[in-house]
Amino acid sequence: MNRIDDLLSQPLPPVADDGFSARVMGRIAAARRRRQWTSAALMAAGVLAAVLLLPLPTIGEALGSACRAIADTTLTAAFARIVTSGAINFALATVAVSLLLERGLSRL
Amino acid sequence: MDAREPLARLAAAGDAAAFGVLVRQHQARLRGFLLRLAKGDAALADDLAQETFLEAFRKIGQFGEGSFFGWLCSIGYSRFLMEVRKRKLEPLGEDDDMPDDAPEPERASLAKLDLEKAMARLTPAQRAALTLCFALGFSHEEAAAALDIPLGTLKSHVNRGRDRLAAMLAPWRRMAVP
Repeated sequence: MNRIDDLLSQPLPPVADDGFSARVMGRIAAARRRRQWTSAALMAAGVLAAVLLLPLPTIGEALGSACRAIADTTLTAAFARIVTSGAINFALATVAVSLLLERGLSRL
Repeated sequence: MDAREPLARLAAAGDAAAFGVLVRQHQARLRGFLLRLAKGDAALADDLAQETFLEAFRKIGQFGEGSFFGWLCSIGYSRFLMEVRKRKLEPLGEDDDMPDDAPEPERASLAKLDLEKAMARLTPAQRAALTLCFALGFSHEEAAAALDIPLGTLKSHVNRGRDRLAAMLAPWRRMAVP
């Protein structure tokens, strides 16, 4: 069995690079570009959808009144108002969804 | 993460150039390993190697500890098995499923039977186990981790593969070295 072991222990035949590494890195660069474009397109679509579908004036008014209320109240009351503010929660949810989308895309 | 793999850490942080160095460092051995798994089909081995590196780049953040090359072999082996199943290239089971075609001495001489041809008659798991443990110098534990099989199963593949190789190469050796 030692002869078999010696035979098996011989190094694998050398494989020349012949542009292989460059091809791999080219594909990786293309995949990264594709992912960046997809990410940008999704973000743009999200913004467009938000502009077209969301009641932005209402949200703006809600944000304005929240800011006014914050300015008129003590710190504790302001925090409570921030937490219960629908507009702020909406903004946080938007950020969270964007981050989730970004993380999902990075795994593609 | 292994302290010997600082390039893998850089690549995990998004440094594509560091990953490029890793590709150049490991491509020859990975392609050699896959070439043997693919029974000398260079086109298939290169396709698998490219897919392996692409998957490694996507999942570089998941590379934990141990050898980066061992991790590459693990990805490459699972890709090879997927390809074998998809294209029905060969049976994946035990020896019983493999053609028992140990050559006659005359045929062996004519066909210039060598290690690669004898290896091609083993099961994929035996080929992978023997290549990792002997030609690539993995410990049994490292090879078992790379192939994602229990240590006992790995040792069984190694022993059965060696026995089959010895049986297949014995007539050839008698002819080659009278």
